[in-house]
Amino acid sequence: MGLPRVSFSSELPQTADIVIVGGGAAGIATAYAFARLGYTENHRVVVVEKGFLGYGSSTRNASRFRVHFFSEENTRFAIKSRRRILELPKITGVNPVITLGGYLWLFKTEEAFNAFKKFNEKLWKPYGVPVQFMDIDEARTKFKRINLEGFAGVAYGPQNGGIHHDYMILAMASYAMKGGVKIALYRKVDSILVEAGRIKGVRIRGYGTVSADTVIIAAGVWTKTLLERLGIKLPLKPIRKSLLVTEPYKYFLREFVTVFESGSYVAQTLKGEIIATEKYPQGEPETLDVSGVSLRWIIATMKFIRRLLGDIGAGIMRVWSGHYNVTPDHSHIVGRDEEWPEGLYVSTGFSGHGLMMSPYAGELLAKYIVEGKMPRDLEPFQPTRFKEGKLIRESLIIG
Amino acid sequence: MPQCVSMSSGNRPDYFVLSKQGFTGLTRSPRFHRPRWPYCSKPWCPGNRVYDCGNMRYVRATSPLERECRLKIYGQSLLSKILSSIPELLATENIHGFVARYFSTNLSEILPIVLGLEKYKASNGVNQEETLSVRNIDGRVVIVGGGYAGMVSALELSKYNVKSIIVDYNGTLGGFLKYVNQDIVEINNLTDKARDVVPVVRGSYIGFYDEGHAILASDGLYITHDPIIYAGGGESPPPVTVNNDLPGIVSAHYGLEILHRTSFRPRKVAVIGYGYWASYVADTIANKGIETYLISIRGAVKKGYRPEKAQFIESKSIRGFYGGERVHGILLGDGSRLEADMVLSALGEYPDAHPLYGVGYTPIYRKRCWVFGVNPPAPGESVNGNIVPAGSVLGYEDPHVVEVSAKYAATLVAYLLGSASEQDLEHYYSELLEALKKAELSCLEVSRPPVWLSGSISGLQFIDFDEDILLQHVYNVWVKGYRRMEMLKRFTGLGTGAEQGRFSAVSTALILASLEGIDPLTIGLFRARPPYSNPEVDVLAQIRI
Repeated sequence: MGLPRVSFSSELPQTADIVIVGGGAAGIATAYAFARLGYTENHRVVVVEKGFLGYGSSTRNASRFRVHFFSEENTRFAIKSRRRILELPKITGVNPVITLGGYLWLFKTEEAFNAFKKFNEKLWKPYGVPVQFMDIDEARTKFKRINLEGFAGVAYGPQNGGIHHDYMILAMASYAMKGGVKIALYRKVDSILVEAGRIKGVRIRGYGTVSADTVIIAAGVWTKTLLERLGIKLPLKPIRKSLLVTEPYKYFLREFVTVFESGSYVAQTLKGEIIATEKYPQGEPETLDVSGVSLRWIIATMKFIRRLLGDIGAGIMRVWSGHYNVTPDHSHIVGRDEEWPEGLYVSTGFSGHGLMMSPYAGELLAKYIVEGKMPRDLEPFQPTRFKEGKLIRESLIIG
Repeated sequence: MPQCVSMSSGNRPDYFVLSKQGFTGLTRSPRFHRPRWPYCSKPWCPGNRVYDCGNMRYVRATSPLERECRLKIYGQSLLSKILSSIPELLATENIHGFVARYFSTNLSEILPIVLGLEKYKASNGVNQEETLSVRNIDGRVVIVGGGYAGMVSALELSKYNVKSIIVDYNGTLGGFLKYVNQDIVEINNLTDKARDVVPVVRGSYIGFYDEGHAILASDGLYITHDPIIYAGGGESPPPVTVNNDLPGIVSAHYGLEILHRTSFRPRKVAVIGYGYWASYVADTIANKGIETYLISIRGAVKKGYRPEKAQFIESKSIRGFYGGERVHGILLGDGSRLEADMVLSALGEYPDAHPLYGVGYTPIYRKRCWVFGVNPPAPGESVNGNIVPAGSVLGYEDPHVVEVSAKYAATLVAYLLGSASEQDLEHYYSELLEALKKAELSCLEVSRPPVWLSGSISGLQFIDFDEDILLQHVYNVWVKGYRRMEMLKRFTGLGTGAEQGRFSAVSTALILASLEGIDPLTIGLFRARPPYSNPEVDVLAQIRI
């Protein structure tokens, strides 16, 4: 499996059947799904991306996926999305570097540990994704490298793993392009065109317009602004999150290690870099700007790494920020509201789960548009749930 | 006895591997905190010089016109005065861990005394939980880089009665002045005139954060919200001296490869440098049965770094190289000559504007100088990230530019702090513009290792020697349709290692420009990310917040 041949362009057709705004995981996965459905054989699907492929939080994350959520909707969704992730190499011929190292939850309190056990019985076991529980003594013999002092228990989810975000998006993008999808990079959509309650296309800065009856906004944290220009409000908050990697270090940590109570985590890339984040001591800022990082956060993260792994003698190579595009129920918004202009859809608000949820979200959204019928798994994730008060009860949050 | 480790694949000489093997006194490359990958092979590796050898056809890396190059020598005065007055301080250069911290802390206490300046409080806590404190140093302008530009800036600031701190990564101040021990230079009398300058050695600028600019020093973190001056210069300097463009003077990386891959066998080889890497190179060549000399121009090579087989010469400076068609030898500091028909530089030079790119400065390609640099903000323009560049990070080695840019930077900062007038600012800005214009025209007289493509992409031509990325890799990916910097980075992995694109991004931009047939200016570099000097996890974890 070598790198696929690709042809991105900055040129666009004047008309298309579907315009997808955003070339991140959500948008590309939707384009990929259209290609998989054979829709692109006789329809024109265009992706317009303002930066490089995966620009935004799709390439600013820790590249992990999990199936364990506290809500049934998300658990079911994630299990199916995981299956689609695992299929990617076979279908696309691109190796997205999948590892199934599992997630290791560390619990500071017995109560949390027991609560987790309840979810296992009630939710995860019935869905066939049980978590393994260990007391600290057993965990110590199994995970020798991690300092478990002060923790009450450990849970291990072997179904979870990691992927290389660049290659995952590339896998889907190259398949989509082979199927006829046009992906234009460095083209910024300024506004969505609406006429008489119908979508008419998009206006692209310094370029012109592309007419289309259907527009999918999958623009990550920039979705909110685009929608607001149409007078549509969605409860999305761009929360800036930061990450760092150290110099490569001997590979010893297969598991993604996360502290349940704080959501902070430490893991290792296959290259050996230690990737970690701790909570911002002062709270993560709500901002669209990701150029900044907090020094206090860096130091807190250093203490966290040292707390779990001891002295490692490695330097930090880089720190950066990305976003969690957070909804009130920490679950994504994929679909449409009947009150919106006809032909307008969104795939957004992934709340930190974008990369892992995108393959299934893309598939369901594409099916919804092509077949005109709402897939059952997509129903809970409609934008209407906020005004109807049907929030998803999701509170297993990491990062 | 030099300690040696085999550099076979699977045994990458990163700091961790080496330190686990007992390399306690390991010198990590100042910017990257790690020893250099021992075979950076091709033109765009820093320090590389000449590329005509055996049946391999490469392009020389210095001047594209085969004209004789002359470099004006600057140096001496202040620094060597300070350094010669306390020569033992030089020896701290290669010491690490506890001893280094001990010394550097002491050094930052000693130097102000030598300079007759106010002593800045420094504590000395090592290796305990939370022994390092965070200190707000608003009111003192931070100057990053203790070279020529940094010192001129300090002097200029003191004229406006602005207090400053000079922070240098190395164990001593001086920058490239340390390597040129000749007379002249305009910064006489700094000792007399500068007021309220505190040097902090072994301190590094680690970036601009929500909380302000951060300096990591041996006794903790310094934070400032005031504008700072960035005069980071380049990676370790080359042997800046007369006639260093003679064929036969190459970077150590490239020299090793020539000897490895071709049948070329020089009679005598001289290696210039210090530390483990230079010693390693010298011994490697000596082991091939070639008469080899290691010339230490710092006079401070630690015993552990002395070569086993190669002969060791200490020289205060290198006055220049002599020869005709190619190099015949070196003029040493004491006037004596050392014959050599191949000279390897185990030093390198590359403008390091990385932290500036990180806060939004646009990389400007200096066509005639073959480097990327930055333009300082004009009077009235907003200052990206509250950092003002000075010195050779502008992309010019020209001493006049270095000096004037430092004066302008200091004046701009003083102006922003309300201490300099608009007239002062305009005055230095027009001087700077003039100097830049002149430097542009005379660029070919100075020597920088530019990026220069060879005629072939088939050889092992490393463009990223942290990640082992070859020109071929970049080319192969480009051919498949990955035609943007960001994609070349993401789908080859270049620039993701410890160097974080300092060299490889520049090289790649030029390669891409060449492949696409477009101006490098339109390409730019990929975004630089802090912390720029790879501070250690264990050190930062000790900071009390």
